[in-house]
This record gives sequence, C-alpha cells and structure tokens, in this order.
Amino acid sequence: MRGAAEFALDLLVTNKNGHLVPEWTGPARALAFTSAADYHSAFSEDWTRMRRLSDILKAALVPGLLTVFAHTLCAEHFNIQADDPAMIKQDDTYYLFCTGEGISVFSSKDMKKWESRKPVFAEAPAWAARLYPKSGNTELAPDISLHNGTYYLYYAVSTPGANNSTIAVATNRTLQPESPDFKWVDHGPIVESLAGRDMWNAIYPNLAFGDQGTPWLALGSYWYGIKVARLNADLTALAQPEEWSTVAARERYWKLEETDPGNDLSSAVESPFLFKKNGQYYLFASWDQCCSGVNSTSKVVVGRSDKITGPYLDKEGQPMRFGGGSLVVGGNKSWPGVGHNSVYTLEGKDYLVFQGYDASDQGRSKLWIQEIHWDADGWPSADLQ
Amino acid sequence: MYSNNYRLSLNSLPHFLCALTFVAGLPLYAQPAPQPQGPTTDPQIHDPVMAKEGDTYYAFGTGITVQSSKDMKTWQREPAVFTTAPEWYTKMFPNARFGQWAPDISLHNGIWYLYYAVSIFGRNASAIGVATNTTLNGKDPKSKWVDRGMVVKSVPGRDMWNAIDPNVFIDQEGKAWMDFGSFWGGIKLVRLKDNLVEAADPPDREWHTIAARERYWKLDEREAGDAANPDLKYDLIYPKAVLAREQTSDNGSIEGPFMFVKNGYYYLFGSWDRCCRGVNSTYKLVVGRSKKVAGPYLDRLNQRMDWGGGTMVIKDLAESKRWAAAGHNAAYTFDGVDYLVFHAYDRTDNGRSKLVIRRIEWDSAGWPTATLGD
Repeated sequence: MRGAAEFALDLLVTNKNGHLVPEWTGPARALAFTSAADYHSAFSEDWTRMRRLSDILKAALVPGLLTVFAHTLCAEHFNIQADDPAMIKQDDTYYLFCTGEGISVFSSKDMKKWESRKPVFAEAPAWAARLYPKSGNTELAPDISLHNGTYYLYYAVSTPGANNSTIAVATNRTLQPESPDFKWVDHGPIVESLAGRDMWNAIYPNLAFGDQGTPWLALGSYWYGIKVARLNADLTALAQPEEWSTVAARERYWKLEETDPGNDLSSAVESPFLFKKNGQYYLFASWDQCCSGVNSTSKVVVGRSDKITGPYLDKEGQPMRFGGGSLVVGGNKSWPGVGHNSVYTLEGKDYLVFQGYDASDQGRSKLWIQEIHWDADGWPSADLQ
Repeated sequence: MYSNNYRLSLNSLPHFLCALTFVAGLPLYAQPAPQPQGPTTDPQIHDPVMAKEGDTYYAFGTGITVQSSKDMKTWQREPAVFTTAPEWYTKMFPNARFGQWAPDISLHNGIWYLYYAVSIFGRNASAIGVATNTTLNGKDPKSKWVDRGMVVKSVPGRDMWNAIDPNVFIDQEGKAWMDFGSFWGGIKLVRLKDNLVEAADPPDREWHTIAARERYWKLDEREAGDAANPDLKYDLIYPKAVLAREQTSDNGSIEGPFMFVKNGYYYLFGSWDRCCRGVNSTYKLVVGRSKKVAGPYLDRLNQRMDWGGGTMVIKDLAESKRWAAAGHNAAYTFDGVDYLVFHAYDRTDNGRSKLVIRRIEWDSAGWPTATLGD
C-alpha cells in the first residue's frame, strides 16, 4: 500500500527552475490554498470553494501532503514563494516571516538567497485549536518587531472566509534558532472579531508606536476596513479603556450580508502597515483583489497623518477613511497583483517588502524587496522591474 | 467626554436617543413639570416596559422609574430601582451621569430580571447591565435589587452598534437571547447563557444584525447618525469637501427593539426616526417577523428589516390630534390579551412623553396593528 507521501509526490511537478512544486490542478490545487501559498485567498473566495476545501482537508492523506509541500518550500532559492512577508534583521541575518503552517520562517544574509527555517509553531497554540478547530496550524499575516530586547511576533488565526478571527502575539529573546535563548513564548489572544457582531476582521496585525511611544496595533481586512487599537505597555493586550479608530475604508454596499467580506465592489482594503518618517505616520495598505493568482489586481496604497489615529490623507487630500489612497506600487503584465507589504529601514535605506503574483509561474505569490523612493513632497513609491 | 459642558452639548449635539435626552427621567424639550406624587391616569414615562406580579402592574421607564397600577389606568409612583450607581458602571463610566436608560423587565424561574443601559451622552460608549429581584413590590421586605453586572458593552471606533435598549427573551427552543441597539449599524441579537446575565461563550456564542437602516458610509463612526439633524459636526473631524455628497439615507435611525413570540413567529418591533423632540418628534413603530430567531425579519412586503424594511404598526398616527409621535414599545400578553406598551408625545401637554397602552389588533395575515386614538 502506498504511503501518503508517495502519493503526494505524484502531484508534484518540476518547474522551470528545477524546483518541485505541486501540480496546479485538482485536489493539489485546492490543497495549496491551505498551505503556505495563498492561504488567505480563502478570505475573499466564495463559500463553495471553502466547502470543497474543507472536504479535502478531511481526507486522511492531508498530513502527508502538507509535509511534502512544506518540504518543497524549504529548498533554498532566491525567488521564494511568500505570503504576507514581514522582515527583520538580527546581527548579520535577515529573517522573513510569512503566512503558512506554523508561520513560515526564512533567513538570509543578503535579502536575496533565502533559507527555510523551522516554523514558529510546531502545532497550533491551544487557544487557537479550541477557537478555530478547522484552521489547523495555519497562522496568518505575521508582523515582527524588536522592542526592549524582545522580538514580538503578532499573528492571526481565522476561520476561512469569515471574520471569526483573533490576533495574538508570541515573543522570543532571539531569532537565531541555534541560540540557547531561542524559544517562542505564545501570549495568546489580544483582540478577536466575531461574525455578526463586528464589521471588521482581526487579521493583519501591525505594531506601531505613536507619540510618546504609545503602542498601537493596526489591523484589518475587508468589511469596514482598517482599525487602530491602543495596546498596553507590555504589548500583549489592549489598553483599557479600549481606544479604537477606523483609519482606512472604502465604500461597501450596505445590503451585503454582514458575513460577506465585501470584495465585489472594489471595497477591498486590507493589510495595514504603519511607518513613521519625518514626523509623519504613513499608513500603507493593499487594495483590490489579492490571492487570485494571475487574476489578482492588488496594489499598495498609502496615506499619511500627523497623528497615528488619523485622519490619513492621500496626495490629493482624500482621507483613506473615505476611500482615499495614493499608489505606491501596482501590478503590471508580469506581476498582475502586488500587495501585503511591510516597510523597514535597513542601513539607512527604506525597503518595501511585499508579495507579487508571478504571471510566469502560474500566478504564485513571490517575495519582493524593493528600495522605496521618496519624492520631494515626501511620498513613497517603489518599482517593479 | 461631554460631561464638562453638558448643557452646551445639549444644544448642539444630535438628540438621537430618547434615553439620552433624559436626565433622571425628565424630558429635554418639555419644560420639566413636577410628576404628580399621587395617583395619575396620565403618567409621564419614557421607554416603558411592563410586568404583572400578583394583581399589580408595574411600569418601568428610563430613570429607572417605577410606577404601579391595579388596572393599567391609574398609576402610582414607586421608589426608583437604583439609589446608587452599580459599581461596574461607575468604574467604566466615571464621567457618566447617574441614570440608567431604557429598561427591560422579565420573569424567569421566579426571578425578575431588569436589564438597563448606561451610556455617555452622544457616543456609543455604552453598556447593558442587569439587576435581579425576587419581587417587584417595593413594599415587600424581601424586595432587593441585586446588581448582576454587565452583559455587553460597545466601544466607539470599534463597534458599529450601540449597547443600549436591551430586550431579553427565550426562543421557541428554550434558548435565551438579547436583542438591543440604537442607530449606528442597527439592531443586534446576541445569544445569552442560561444564567441570563452573560453573553454566551463558544460554541454557543452567536451574534446577528436583525434590523438596520441605511447609513451614509462617510458619516463618522462616532456619530449615531441622524439625517434630520442639521447640527451634526462631521466636518470638525473630516474635511467638508469629502462630506459634500448629498445625504439621502436615513442614517440608521432605528432603536428600541422588542421581540414578541406568537403563533410560531418572532415579531421584531422597532422604532424609526426621531424621538425626544416633544411635538416635533417623528418617532414611529415598525414590525417585521421571522420563523427563525436569527432572521431575516421580513415586513408585510417581504422587505428585510436589516435592509431597511419595516411595517407601520399604529394605524392612525398621522390622524391623531393628541399624539405627535409614538415609539419605543414593548409587547405583552396579560390575561390572554396582547398589549402594546409605548410612549407618545402629547400635544395637549407641551409634548411630554406619556405612557400609552393599546390592545394589539392582529389582522387576518397575522400582522400586529394598534389604534392610537385621541
């Protein structure tokens, strides 16, 4: 009798770079949505697909398939598949955290050649397994930052296609797996959104510090847009009493079912990232359709504000809260959709780290790291070349 | 936040909630007249709910005021429920004026549950709390209201709903629910634990929006949404040009839900438009129904209540000489008769808000109506 892993190998093909990748058809294609690649397409796809996906998940061969698929991603390569990339540098090493089984981790000495490392979570945190039994060990949209000698990894766990989602945080004293201090400690949920109750979605966390060092969490995806919520001083819970503001939103047809993310009328906005420069807060976000391979239309937009709670205005003075946003980088023929960015200053240069859907590789989501150009008026942009 | 300039705020901020315009039960637009201390057949009240214990009817209103009657006609004032603010409330709302709003009263397993709301003027910084008692008779030595804490709260900037105007009921499968809400994104329904004092935890946790009206999407999330109010201060927060688009929506003016279960249907009542403006009020009662508690609730024309649907309940509101507007109802069956209990603004008494009780007239299609008269 053939083992699951052997069976899975039948579904893999060799691509033009010589890497084993899953054949993009049938069950393997659907399976890919539950893996590192394009997991969050689930948020913007229809329920039919989700049901199909859930049926496949139930199949006994899935654990074996996931292992093989994860192993495929682990191969060293330059042009890695990456979803929702977040990056940080410790000593001479860059670490990249991505959506995936247990949160995918890659390391690099040069931001070009990436090596796959052990995921953050070997198994889903107990609270996540209890609240989201169908989400397996898939954690979404990580955000990494260093604060007072501790690395804070914010992440989300969600029910595909619904805004039943929770943002949580894990910490570590070091990102070097070889260090004796290396140990991820999960601090559990910070904020939860619930279908029927909330018109927002607790995914895509991003830690930012406002004036006087006040910590805030930007978050959000679809529904009524992007929120900021104040954190307490230890960065592991919301400050009390709670302080919230909506900072970016696009028009949503009011008769959409409240369980509908709202991606049909160009209302899609998600994946915030806050970056402070020259006394201004820059709010980056992604617009339009992500996660649809070559049919993706996502793009990165920005607005800025004197205050972390907004209002964030674009180049034309339109508030992002009411649909405003200036283009930072958009898709082209080779890369139809780009988005889900983060921003970092490394050795005095500002970098936009994001994902792009590769038209030459069946629309797979690939890592992009581009230096940001700041124009004379202080507006950021990036190239796709 | 508005407590320091409360009186100024009263003149400039939207007066969107009946409860909000009340301080210790006195209407804002009517000059306060002393409530009769003796029996009256014309009781002032706001946001009334009612219960019968033994041979006595009790009416509770924003305040929380209590009045009693043997015949639903002549009413006697009783001591207010709260003489001090519950501890959780003063902790959460140190700046809020003491005075709970829009109560709900019901009996479960021999215990009276009184739900009420606490809020800060003009904001959805609000919470719903509950107190229990073994009797409604204040003269009974056993009478003692026990604070059971907070059930739900809403947070400005986080929530597109407002935790006021609670109503608790048991569905046909024996599950407990609370419907509540005012303006913003509409009326919510949340499953309660069997103890009736907490929202349910997973896996029983369940929330739905069951009634809503269109809200202009660029209305600031901190605004309740009153399309008819010329004093809205949106442009203080966002550039005026952005808000120049003509507003045609109702901006979500719906509140005061009440659920009534009859003949296999859940009837959801709500109040539309503007309360609390005396004779200028435009308050009106609407209803929809569903065979499933989670909805959708459909009106007589099969329009969904969460998409702006609603069927008028009072047949003769427009013709009434005495009553300018009527709303914020409850519905009960006493001794086999269904009653609609609500408040209406009295043109013959400076637009004061009065207790009105009318028999529900069920039409052949099973829709509730009522005649206000003069």
